[in-house]
Amino acid sequence: MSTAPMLRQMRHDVWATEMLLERCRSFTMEQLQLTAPGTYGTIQKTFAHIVRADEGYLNTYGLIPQPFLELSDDTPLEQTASRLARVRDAVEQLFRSKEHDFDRRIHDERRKLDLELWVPLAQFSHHGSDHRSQICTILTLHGLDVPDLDVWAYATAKGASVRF
Amino acid sequence: MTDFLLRQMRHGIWANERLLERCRALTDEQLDLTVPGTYGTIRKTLAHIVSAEEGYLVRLLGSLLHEPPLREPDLTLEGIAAHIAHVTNAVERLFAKGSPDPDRVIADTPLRRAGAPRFEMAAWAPAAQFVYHGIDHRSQIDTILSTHGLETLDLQIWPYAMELGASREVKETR
Repeated sequence: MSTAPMLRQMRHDVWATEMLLERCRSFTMEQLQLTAPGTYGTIQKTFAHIVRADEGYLNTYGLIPQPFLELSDDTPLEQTASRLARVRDAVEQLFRSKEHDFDRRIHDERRKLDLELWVPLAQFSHHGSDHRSQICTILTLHGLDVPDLDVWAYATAKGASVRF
Repeated sequence: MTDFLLRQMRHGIWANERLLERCRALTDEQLDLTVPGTYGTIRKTLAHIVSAEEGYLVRLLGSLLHEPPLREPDLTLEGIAAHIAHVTNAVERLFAKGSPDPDRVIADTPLRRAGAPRFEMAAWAPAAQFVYHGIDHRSQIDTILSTHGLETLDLQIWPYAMELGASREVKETR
């Protein structure tokens, strides 16, 4: 049976955040506090923001309870990584359950919105990619190596794309 | 149920169109702005997004979208608009007969140049890359606009869903 495209997209997203976190684990505290104009904030805070938001999107489906990851300029990378592992598990859990009707409309009391269930999942992918792009801009601006986080790299790592 | 990838691709097109409209209000000098750490100028980055999307769709459909194909584009905003229309048409064609098989192996692309390596890949890879690539580069354009004190746009899924009627604010507490 085919893997749902939505699940693939979310797995890529979690993988990309993990790869980028791994890249930054060896950074000094000063490097983690680097930023660039026009971006969300420091590297460290942006990571926390990505993962905290992931938790919020998955909370919509009853998968991750509050409180979410604390958002600050010095949220430890280890703590962010630990919460990201929980996000990864929740993504798998979401797709292990019975077929979801992502076109169903629900009332989301936390956001004070009525919304269709596909919306937070699409936002999950968009939000992560958007802010990882900002972290990559910060790294490049400061002369630091940037890992390849696109789907080509992911597909190659998973054996789904082969060069001849 | 509407295919999730189709929803994401439509969102990508919507975001490109919004960004193009924003660019129409910029001067030539502003369109040539950039910042270190991004792909290039605003205009070049938007052209790159659309050109790459055509490339992903050519691979997925197995045929060119138009002759000659778009390569290394140096496009005006009008040119970009014309190619967004090609992308829109190709995305709808891709899903016209239902959801494409994500595990179908695509052996090559009609765009491969003589002597260039050939890649075999599952169809989900270029489809997911379409979504990822646009977000990544639109984020860079947002950074350029913001750095230079120019108004940015909210291109997230939230405003898109609002426009579609797939999300709406509830004023009263239930």
